[in-house]
Amino acid sequence: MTDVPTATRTLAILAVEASRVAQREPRMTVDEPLGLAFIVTVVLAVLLGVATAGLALYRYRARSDPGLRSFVVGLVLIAVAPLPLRIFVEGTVPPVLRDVFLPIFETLGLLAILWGMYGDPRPTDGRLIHRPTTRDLAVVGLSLAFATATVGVGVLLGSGAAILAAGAVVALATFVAGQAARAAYRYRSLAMGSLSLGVLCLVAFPTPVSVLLRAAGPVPDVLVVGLISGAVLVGEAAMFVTLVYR
Amino acid sequence: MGDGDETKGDDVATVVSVLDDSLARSILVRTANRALSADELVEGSESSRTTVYRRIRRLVELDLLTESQELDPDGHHFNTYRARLDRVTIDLGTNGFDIDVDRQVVEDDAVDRLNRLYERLQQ
Repeated sequence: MTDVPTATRTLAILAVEASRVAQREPRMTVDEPLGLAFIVTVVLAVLLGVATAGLALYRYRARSDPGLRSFVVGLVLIAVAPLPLRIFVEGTVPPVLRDVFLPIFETLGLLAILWGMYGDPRPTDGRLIHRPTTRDLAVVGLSLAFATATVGVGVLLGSGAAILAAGAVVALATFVAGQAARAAYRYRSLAMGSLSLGVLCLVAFPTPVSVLLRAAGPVPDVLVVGLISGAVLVGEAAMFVTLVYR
Repeated sequence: MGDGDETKGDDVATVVSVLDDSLARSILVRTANRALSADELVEGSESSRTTVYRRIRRLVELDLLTESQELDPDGHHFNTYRARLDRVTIDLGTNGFDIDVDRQVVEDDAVDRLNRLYERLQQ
């Protein structure tokens, strides 16, 4: 058996939920192979996130134009910026900082992508989309429903105001992922599909998954840690594929 | 791009003369699957900038090429171009030649812009 928090002191670990778990139950123990698997998962996710950021910045420098800036900033923020905050190194990052800055970084990343898609929201020459289509509104409706359900269940389970902020992030992420899924379908684009999957796994799913797990009653901490770290790894891999695929 | 539509009423001589031009054909081929800016079309051509711009304008006038405004958050917007031409059919009948030009519907909405952002990042 390996003491997970001890292991994470030297290597790092996981998502916000995982760190919360570890703090609630500092002596949580898992089988040694499982603990090693968690660590490998997180290290892979970090490496993929860094590679994604490097590729995005390289491509941006090679094809610099201001229209790409928002898109690249969005990709980097979603893929990389939250990683240091997701990593749990005991005593280094206060939980409050993680709780506050993670949704801020995610929101900024999503807004940057939306800026690239829709332009300046103010009624100026910078606004490029003047009339949303019916399908745009359908994706908006789906996103709001998903976020509302997440917040509703969270409130019923006694979550604080933080669930409201998390719900807003979930709505934004679901909308961006939904539009990317539409692009994937329309253009038969694997890259757009992987972008959609990446945004879902990294930003949209962790909060609802956590809420669902809480709603399901007492669940093994290992399951929480495994699901969240797995979602982060799949998300980072999807973001990497988005930039690698040609 | 969505489903194709077919527009009749094109002039045989006009369409054939445009397609007889190698630069026009090159522009259509290069923009068949991805949107390119005028600068990018000039970069991949041996013709002068003025010639490329004229050919682009001609193709847009004939609705064989569509232009979309690309986002530039700094306010300096620019156009990108994508081919609408899908198929040309010329029939010979007792009344002469009849030409049908099938054009693709090119969407210009947020989803298309997201895809174009990605395409520009990949170029």
